[in-house]
Amino acid sequence: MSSLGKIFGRGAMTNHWNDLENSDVIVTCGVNNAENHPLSIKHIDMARVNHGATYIVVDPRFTRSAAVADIYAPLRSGTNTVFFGALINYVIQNKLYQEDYIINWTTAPFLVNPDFKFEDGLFSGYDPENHKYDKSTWTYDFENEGEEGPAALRQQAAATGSRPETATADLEAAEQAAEKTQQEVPAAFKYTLEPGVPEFTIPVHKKAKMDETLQDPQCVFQLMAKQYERYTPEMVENICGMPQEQFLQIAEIVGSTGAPDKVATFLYAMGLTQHTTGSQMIKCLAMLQLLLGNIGMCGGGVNAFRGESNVQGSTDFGLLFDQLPGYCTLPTAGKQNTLRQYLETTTASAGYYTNRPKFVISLLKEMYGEHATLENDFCYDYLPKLDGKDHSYITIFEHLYNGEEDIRMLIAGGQNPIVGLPNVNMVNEALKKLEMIVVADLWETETSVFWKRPGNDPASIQTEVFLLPMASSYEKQGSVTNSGRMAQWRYKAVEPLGNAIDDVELYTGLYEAVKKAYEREPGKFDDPIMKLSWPYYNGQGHPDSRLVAQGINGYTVEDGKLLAGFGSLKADGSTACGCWIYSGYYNNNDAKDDPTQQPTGRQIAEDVSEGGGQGGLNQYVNWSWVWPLNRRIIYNRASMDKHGNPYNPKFPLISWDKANKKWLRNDVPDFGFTNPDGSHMEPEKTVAFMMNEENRAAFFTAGMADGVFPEHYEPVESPVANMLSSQQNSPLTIIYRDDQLGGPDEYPIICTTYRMSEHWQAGAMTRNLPWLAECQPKVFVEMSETLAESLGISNGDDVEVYNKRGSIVIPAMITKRMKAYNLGDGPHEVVGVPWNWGFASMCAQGESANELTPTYLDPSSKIPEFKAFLVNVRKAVN
Amino acid sequence: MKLTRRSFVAAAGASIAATALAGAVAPNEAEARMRSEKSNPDFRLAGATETTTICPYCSVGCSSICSVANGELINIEGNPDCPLNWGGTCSKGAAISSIRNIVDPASGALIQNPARLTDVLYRAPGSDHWQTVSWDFAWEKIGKKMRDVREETLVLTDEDGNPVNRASGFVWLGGAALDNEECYVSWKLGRALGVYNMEHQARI
Repeated sequence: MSSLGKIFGRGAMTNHWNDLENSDVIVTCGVNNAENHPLSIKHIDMARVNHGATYIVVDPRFTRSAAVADIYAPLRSGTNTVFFGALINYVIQNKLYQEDYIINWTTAPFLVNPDFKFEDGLFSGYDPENHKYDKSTWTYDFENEGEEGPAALRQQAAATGSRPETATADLEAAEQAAEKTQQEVPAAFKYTLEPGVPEFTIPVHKKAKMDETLQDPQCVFQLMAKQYERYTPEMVENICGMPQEQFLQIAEIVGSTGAPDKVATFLYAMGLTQHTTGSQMIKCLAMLQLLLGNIGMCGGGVNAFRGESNVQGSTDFGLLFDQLPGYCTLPTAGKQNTLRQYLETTTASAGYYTNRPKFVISLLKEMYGEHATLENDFCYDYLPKLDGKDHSYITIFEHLYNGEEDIRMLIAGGQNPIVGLPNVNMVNEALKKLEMIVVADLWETETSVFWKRPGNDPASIQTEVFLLPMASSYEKQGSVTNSGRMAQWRYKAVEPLGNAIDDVELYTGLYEAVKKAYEREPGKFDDPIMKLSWPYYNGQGHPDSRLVAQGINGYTVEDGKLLAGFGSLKADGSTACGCWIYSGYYNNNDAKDDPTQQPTGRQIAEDVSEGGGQGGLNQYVNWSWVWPLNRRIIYNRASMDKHGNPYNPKFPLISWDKANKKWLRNDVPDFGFTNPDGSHMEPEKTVAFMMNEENRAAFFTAGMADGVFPEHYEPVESPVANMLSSQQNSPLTIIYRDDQLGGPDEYPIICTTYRMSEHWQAGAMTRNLPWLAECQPKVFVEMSETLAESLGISNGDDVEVYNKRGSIVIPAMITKRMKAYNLGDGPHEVVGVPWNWGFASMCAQGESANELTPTYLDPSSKIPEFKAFLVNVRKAVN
Repeated sequence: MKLTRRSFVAAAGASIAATALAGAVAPNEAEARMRSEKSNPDFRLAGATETTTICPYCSVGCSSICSVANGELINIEGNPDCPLNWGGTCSKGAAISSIRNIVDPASGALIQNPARLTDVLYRAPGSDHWQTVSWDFAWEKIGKKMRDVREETLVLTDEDGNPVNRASGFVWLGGAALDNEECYVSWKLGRALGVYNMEHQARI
């Protein structure tokens, strides 16, 4: 999500499951979707059967997806940027890009700061001592550099006239100033002039110089062409291990979708994210799709397949160390001490995030209700402030292991880190340092019983542990957001078992418990808890997810009326809203108690139009609801040229009806398409990527930690040298435990980890189900016939897979699906281990692959490397 | 015309909005009623009411139908009306009823999955076993601990004098297995406590 957000404006799957049926070319690279998102294959097959789509699978292993593909090509784990970069090079060299698209909808014509450079794997501004970039040259060449626009005025004070600053000033002058300011405030910021909106200085929008001929050597397009000219088919063969002929075959098919009426979709998941260079791989793929004009199109997109049933939702709701719900950030101390400073540093100068103050102030109103007022900055002071350092998942466990940060208590809802995190032997030691662990789950998980993990002595572990019994998904009600951003309501079928409760009850119980403890024994600053608004009790006095849903959707404070959508949000405290992007999912005031009557709960499976369109485009706009505002394909303005003519007439997702001056819609437009008087806006006035300050998709971004354009670096543990530059690894990679780093001399075999269709993540949800345990009872290591032969291993033999972090003894599965990669310097063997197993479950126990995985993090996303590291393998001695 | 479940649904679809009930009804009742309007009784299990659910595993979001008789779940199968899966399920989706009930290998009867937790379990420091405790015991002990951890690790102002109001003592995990509404209340309570070590599956 850290890359898509930077390039398109939102970190989410651009299209959706049913829309796969509209694709001409479907490329799976970085996900084994037949295995891990099995029903996706149904839609891919529809595309193949209905209109002859081509399905291409590129993967380190011959997977279950590869088995049903038209074309399979191998690729060494961790080298995806070379493959995508070479496709970009092929598309540019052969002029297959969609010129109209990139000139109108992307930053390809923007000129870049003349001091920006790239040399031998490094971008300008690299500080080798601190492994950091000074990003001051990672900017456009601006027309109005240094200009102080009207935005720099403190217009609110002048406009309202009620503030002390103006009350004391000469009245006439103040009025004149107010009038002047009114005129000068850009339209997007007029709302800041309304009474009750806190004062803040609105940012100046800087406009980049442009060359629409794309010829200027310092334009984004030319810099990109230069960046990837080194990414040749030979490099693909020598670095990725993909034969050149196969690469060229794929490049020709993918390149053919640069035609306006042809479209490709790319699918990925943890096969891209779980690398130290994962964010840049995804960005590279997104750049390719933009060049081909495949974003915003029916059947196109960059489709991130999220790993879990609600990992999209949990991300949307900000359960990450630095997030507020709806992709706003938690404040940082120093630069964001006050609400004013926060608004000044997070409000965009152009694009839709000019509205950010509305989202944040409405969130504070939902959190603190009547206590949140203009005078007290809407309780902004109650939010914790970050220290500017990393506190992501792996870093937290490193802190805990090292006794840093004074961490004492772990509360985990449906999480099993001692199986799911990398380097679980480290995690085991870290957990022992805790005073109390509270695990809320359906099952006894490995984390909840870490004290009886083989090798641990319970008597020496002083951690208190609670294991709380929870309801399963159909024993409660609430919404879950699938990968296509669809928030479907789950209805309750049966009561929870025994004394189990649901998670709204859990967090309500924790809230009440800590509040009671504070009532008995007040603390030094307990207002953030004592004044927290918790209006979620129904008529029976019971916490109820339908009431939480109303708080999330948002309402007007005065009368509690649900908001139609986030367009109704205000920055003056008159609206409350828990997560602005969900505004509209639960908005029916006539049936507040009844989810079947709310957008989230509706189930109408008709392939109809949204407004004036023909329907029949696999959009199903009345089946449940997707964020934002039920837009099924985001950035859909880019499916048309400037004048509103669809690029692909076969799939007129939205089109401009010139005669009647109307937008014909099969999807909700992802652009402002109406004028204030309700008439439809002329196409020439609309933009395609309104979540970006540029109002365009951004190829050139300073938002990533480790570079402007994606560049190939080898995995931290790699058997080969980087052939593209003298930078072996990404210079900003966060490496914990370099004493456990193993080189190729000792550990010559590449290892990758993956999941099985029959098991689920860390396994508690499937290793306790007899049917599934019977289907896949045992963990194994998959290896090639050549490796097995060289080590004298027969199928089913117990083998030891080991490195400096751990050692597991598991049976060998020898298959033709695993093959050594033929790289520039010869063959390199690879093994794979599924990571779903652990030591505690009813039916299928087994060793955890994550004993072997390293704690090396992508510097942008902070996601650890699970997919490419080194091990050795030997026959186990019995 | 051969009546299939799907064709019946299409025919009945138009009347759904008109007949569904507004007002203060239990959601499962409203949904069960909605389904009883929609689905062909010939395809329902005898004596069962139907509700829909969304699969708890991957992110496709497949819909399934839960059949309940006498207050107990008797079957779950793919929902043929849902465009995401048109009734299909994968191996895991086909098994979700066994999250609650499994077939007893000895008797062949449907029994509660013995691995499911039905009580609060507590492990004392240094102990090698669980003990079953009450919710009251758990809330009391956990609430006090949360208060104390917050009090002892809360930093109101950092070294540079900036107001920070953050508590280092907590690690707050979870989310991808929860519903959105649950995620939101988790986030909200955590931040009110001053938690910054807040993470979940999206990071791994």
